[in-house]
Amino acid sequence: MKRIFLPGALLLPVMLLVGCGESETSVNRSAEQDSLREVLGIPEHFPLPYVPEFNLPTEEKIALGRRLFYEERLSANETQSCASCHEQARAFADGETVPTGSSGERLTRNSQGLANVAYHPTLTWASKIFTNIESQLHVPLRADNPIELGITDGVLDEVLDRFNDAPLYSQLFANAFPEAEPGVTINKISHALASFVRTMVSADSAFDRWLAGDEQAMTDQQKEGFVLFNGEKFECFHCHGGINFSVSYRDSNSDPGSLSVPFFNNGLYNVGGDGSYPPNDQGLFELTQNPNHRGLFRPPTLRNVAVTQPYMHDGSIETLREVVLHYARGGRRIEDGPLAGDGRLSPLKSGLVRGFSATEEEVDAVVAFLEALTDETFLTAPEFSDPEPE
Amino acid sequence: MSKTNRIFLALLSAVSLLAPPQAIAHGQYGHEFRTGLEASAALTYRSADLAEEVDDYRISGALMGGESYREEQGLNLSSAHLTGFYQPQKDIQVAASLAVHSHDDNYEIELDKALISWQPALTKGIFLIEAGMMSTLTTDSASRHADTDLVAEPSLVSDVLWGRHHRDLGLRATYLLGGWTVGVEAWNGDGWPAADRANAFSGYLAYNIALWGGNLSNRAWLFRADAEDREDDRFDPGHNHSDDLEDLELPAFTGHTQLVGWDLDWKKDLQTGSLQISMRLTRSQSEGDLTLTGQAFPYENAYTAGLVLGAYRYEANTFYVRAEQIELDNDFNADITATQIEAMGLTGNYEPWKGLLGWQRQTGDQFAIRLEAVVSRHQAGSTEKALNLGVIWQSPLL
Repeated sequence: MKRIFLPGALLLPVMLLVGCGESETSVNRSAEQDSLREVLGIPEHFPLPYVPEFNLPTEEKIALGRRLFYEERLSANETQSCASCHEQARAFADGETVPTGSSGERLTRNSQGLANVAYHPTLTWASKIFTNIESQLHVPLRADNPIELGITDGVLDEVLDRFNDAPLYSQLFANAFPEAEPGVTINKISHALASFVRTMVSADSAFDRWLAGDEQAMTDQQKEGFVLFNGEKFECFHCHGGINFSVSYRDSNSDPGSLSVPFFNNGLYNVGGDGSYPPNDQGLFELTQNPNHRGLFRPPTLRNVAVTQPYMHDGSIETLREVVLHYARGGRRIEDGPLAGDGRLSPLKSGLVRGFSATEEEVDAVVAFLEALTDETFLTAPEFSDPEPE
Repeated sequence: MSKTNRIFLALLSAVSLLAPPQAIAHGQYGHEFRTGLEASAALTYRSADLAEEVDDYRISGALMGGESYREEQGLNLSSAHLTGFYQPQKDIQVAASLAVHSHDDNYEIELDKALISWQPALTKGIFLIEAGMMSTLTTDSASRHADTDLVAEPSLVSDVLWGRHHRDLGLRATYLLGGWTVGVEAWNGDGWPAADRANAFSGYLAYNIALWGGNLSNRAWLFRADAEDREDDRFDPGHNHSDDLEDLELPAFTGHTQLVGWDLDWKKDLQTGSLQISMRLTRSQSEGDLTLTGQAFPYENAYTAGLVLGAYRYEANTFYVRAEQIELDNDFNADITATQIEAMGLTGNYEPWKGLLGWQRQTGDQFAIRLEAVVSRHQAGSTEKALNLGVIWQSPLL
């Protein structure tokens, strides 16, 4: 009682002056922001992703996009759908080193998971061109080198007719695009797919529950791993920081004028000692032809990373533990063969990949923390599943 | 201007016009030119740190900055000044002051003031023009120093609303007539809460009246400042890594801040000393954007601060009590999560306060000692306690 009395008595006249009010921090979201959150199913503790004005989501678009995502008639030869390379149980990666397209052609880069893809300012492993999902989707849908779904110019009308001729789809497209000209177009397909993919938000991992105050949600080992992840030695957070565990990040508050679109060379290759990567895929260099851009790739999100193996842009590392050891070494050494070289010595390697010595326990802890980013709710959510499973 | 602010300004105006003016006191707002050299210093032993770590002196819900550093345990030079005045002619004075301030682990010598004053002869009243590096005279909360103030402990109001000390290049015009004083100030825009040479201006209206056998000084004031990318750069984050989510990502503020205040001082001389009661009521409102790692959040805040000081001087002894509290309201007009707000240090669900009891004894013309018991809460759920034992030295050198 005595302890309380002294400051209380001192503050009484001040409280009278200030008016005995209570401090408060409030968030005033717009009706549009609330609506977007509801339609996209964004949890309160997660930011609202960037949504382009030209394709605001609706329940109808999302429902159509979900059906199209699992629709094999969306490939020219009707053998593959988006889900062929993006499986929900693998956080929409596919478990392959690199995927095979609908024509049987092996692709160059590993299938990335789609969890929280809406929070990336650029799409695909190494491109500054695709800054929204709608435009990126034209690559798997339309590209002819390599072929993925294979809707090339020659077969475009044939594929669109499949949907125009299907009563169910005609109705779904009409519902999703009520103000547009009747008929199915490739842009309507990409817009519907993008709306669905934008709802793929993973935000219920053990880490999220721990963040919300559940101390038991992560094990002590995982908590230790989190400290190491953000620590001076491992330095993982430099490329994988923030709520989506990637510094390649954008949400509805991001300023378009100062958007950061980072790419890093992590020392995976050093062919010939000049920093080169395998000639079939040199990262951002493929687009820019700038020699300094050899080996530059976008840092992916680490959410659900434990189920998206194999790793790296070419799927050349099998396990999470090997990934951590790769960074501990400061680059990968390939002893012989056409790709021989020591990535640690690459002149183009990011300065953030310096290498460090870590104990087995520390490596285990970081791997355990990464496993805490697995979101079982996301991996099994009915709203992301095939609406008509076989 | 919000409804709350209009009501507040109306209240200030009404209170300021309650009574007729009387002759103004000199002292802080004095205008007597002279030539001389003065020095002062305050040495304080503090029994405990104000905050555990160097960069823990943050108040959740407050956009802090400037020179609001924590008070450290141990013996510290709280502040020191060496001030020179030169009066080359009757109506001109040049003044410069070097100050030593404690910036946590370091002491920094700074040019605290460097100004030229001109007082043209008028038939009625006193007109004063000042230009140079100086502090605002809107309120003494903007420029408290342990070596010139009754209290050693920094004021919470000064720390949160003024970055402890306001200092900027500026131009001031003051007019005194009878008991009235009116002043207007224009600033270069680099002194907290302004930043990056943005617009800043201020003004005040003061008068004195006789009340209850003593003298009541009233002062209503306004300070408005723009800021461009104002950051809390008190602590060098260096290669700072987060090992938990309590580490902050401090945002930069771009927008304007308007402070309005009412300062009231009542002082009565007694046979053996004096009695003084002072009150400071301040409302600060900011509106603009908070930016952080490529993101921008439309943002407003309103901080309401109150400070009361009572002092009783009996011969060489002065006993004093001071209490202050701040209400911190923050509004984000954006889609922002609680985690992001927490990471910015703006959750602000409590009212920081600080209270102290003090005793000061003058031990001669130049020295005084003082003892203070301080209780404060700058973080939710924690209370800090400390004892300050200090020596003050003030002396004319020339």
